[in-house]
Amino acid sequence: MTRLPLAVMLIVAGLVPTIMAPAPTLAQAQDKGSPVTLKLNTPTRTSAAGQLALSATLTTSAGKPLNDRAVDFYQKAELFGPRDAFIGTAETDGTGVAVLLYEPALRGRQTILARFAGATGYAAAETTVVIDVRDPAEAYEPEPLPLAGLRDRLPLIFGGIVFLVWAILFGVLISTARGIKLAGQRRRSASEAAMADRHSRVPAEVR
Amino acid sequence: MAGHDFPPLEDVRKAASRPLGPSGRGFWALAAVLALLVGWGVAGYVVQLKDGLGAAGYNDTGFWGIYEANLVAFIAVSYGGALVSAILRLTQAGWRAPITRLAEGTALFSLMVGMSFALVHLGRPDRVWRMIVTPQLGSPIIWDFVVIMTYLVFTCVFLYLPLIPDLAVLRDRTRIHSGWRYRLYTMLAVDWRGLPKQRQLLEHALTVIAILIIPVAVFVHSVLSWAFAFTGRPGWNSTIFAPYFVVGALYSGVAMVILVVAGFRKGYHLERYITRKHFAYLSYLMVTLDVTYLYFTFSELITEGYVMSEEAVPVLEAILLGRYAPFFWLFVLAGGVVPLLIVAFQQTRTVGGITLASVLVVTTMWMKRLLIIVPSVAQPLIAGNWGLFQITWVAIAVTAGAAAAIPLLLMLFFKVFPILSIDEMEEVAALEARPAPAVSPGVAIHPGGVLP
Repeated sequence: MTRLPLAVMLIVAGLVPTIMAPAPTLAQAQDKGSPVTLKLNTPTRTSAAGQLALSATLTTSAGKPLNDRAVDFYQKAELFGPRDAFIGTAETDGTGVAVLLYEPALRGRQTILARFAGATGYAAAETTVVIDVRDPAEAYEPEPLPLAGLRDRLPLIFGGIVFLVWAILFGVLISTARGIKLAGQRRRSASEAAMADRHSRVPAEVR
Repeated sequence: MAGHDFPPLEDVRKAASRPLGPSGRGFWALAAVLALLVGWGVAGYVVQLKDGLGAAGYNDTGFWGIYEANLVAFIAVSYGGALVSAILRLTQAGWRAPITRLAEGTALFSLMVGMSFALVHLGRPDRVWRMIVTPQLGSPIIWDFVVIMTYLVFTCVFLYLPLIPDLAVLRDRTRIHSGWRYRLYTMLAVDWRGLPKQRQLLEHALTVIAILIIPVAVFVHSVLSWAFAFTGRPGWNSTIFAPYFVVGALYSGVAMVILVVAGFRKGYHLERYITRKHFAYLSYLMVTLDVTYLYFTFSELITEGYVMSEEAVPVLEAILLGRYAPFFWLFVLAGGVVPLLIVAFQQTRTVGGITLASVLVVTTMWMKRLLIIVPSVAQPLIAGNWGLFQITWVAIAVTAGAAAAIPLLLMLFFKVFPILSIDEMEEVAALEARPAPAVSPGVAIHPGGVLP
């Protein structure tokens, strides 16, 4: 076994606690550095269907924009308990604005969380905004089915044929029954009238 | 039908009304036996509802079986009614007259019983209302539902319309009693008086319905076949399935008509009206369809057997040489060859022989439907062993109950309505009674007709 110099061993030993230490929580991070302001702006639609632009502005407490900082975006979700579903990360530009393109898959109200994890001299920050998605993006674009135009019309065509057949059936049945009944009633009325006429012609003495 | 001696019309009316009168012990004994079988079937279904489809032998690898075969088979036998009534009416075949009522009744009740298997084979029948509220329009099951309902209504109308003149006869006969029968017949007879105008309306309506019921009937079994053919399973995914099912339905349908006619002829002593000739003509129809069905079977098997695709070979082997082979060859022999031979020879082409042939056809065609379904279902498509559909007492009870329900319903139906089509028989008798056209002297008489 190679015997490492003592200095290297001490350095490694010093690093191990750092490597093995858990990441600082937001609360712990907030204890370090100047406070910052993270603001989530109202999402705007892009030209792509169902796509939103999430933007967050990161500034110092004095209002100075912080550029080249990573801002993480999450969607607050409920999946076996409350969870933050990671959407993506965007870097702030010269004006302190980080923009992330987001295609929500579900319709309805969603809470978007933006989080700045903190940096040297700056504390962490996070903020939320509630959006109402009315036009979600398709999760994927399916290949168009063969004969798609015809397939769309087929239920209407067959439904029309079935309706026509039923209409003919009931039309024939009802008109036949009515016609037979009317003819029978007319004949009965004519017979009764003829009988009454004959009866009236018979002299009273004979009747 | 030249030379047929028609009995007097009053005798026809009496014979047609014979079942309406008080029935003997034989009737009630048979009705009791049939009712017990139906009760057994209902009990089996209750057990199935309680314990699930597993009680009927269904499982993950045997997910379709006897009930699906029953659905196809029982609806198929209703085709005999459509064929005898509609097609023979359109072709002016006068010999059909004494048997049309029996054929139409068989069509209606076998269709109703067959349709019930669409519910019986569901694991969750309580969800069937969703088919109406949220139908999956792309599914052959929905198409099945629509066409079968359409065919049912057509069959009802086609049974009712020719009944109108007979109901008028019964109305006039029961007028003096003024009981429930008189009221029923009066309502249903819609003031029929036998007037030329009424006859014209009725004939026109029957012609239209007869023309329409044929494509509807063809569609019913075509759509039923597509419930299998559109799945893509080996053994099912065949373009021949639609005509194959239609011909099979006609074949078993005509056989069923023969059976029903034989049974009721014997039970109600209708030998004078339903003669050996009727059985002979029906048997000719039956063997024509027999040969056609065998041809379709051969064509389907040779097509798959020649190509020998990887998916189809195991099913073919199982049917022709494997565990299902005895049933397949039994069908070919008992359901295909033997009926053909019985009808082919005059010595065996008797009422008894033709009835025996029909029994063989009806039972083996039911078995053939099982052979269409079970091997394809049982074949493992991914990996593993062949599935197994085991018939249990529940499935047997439900099937037996359904089979018993058809003759029971017919017996009860003919307690209220005439068993022979009086009006059609009178019409045929009137045609027969017309004198032959006079032949002028000097014209040669050819054995086959008159030469100009």
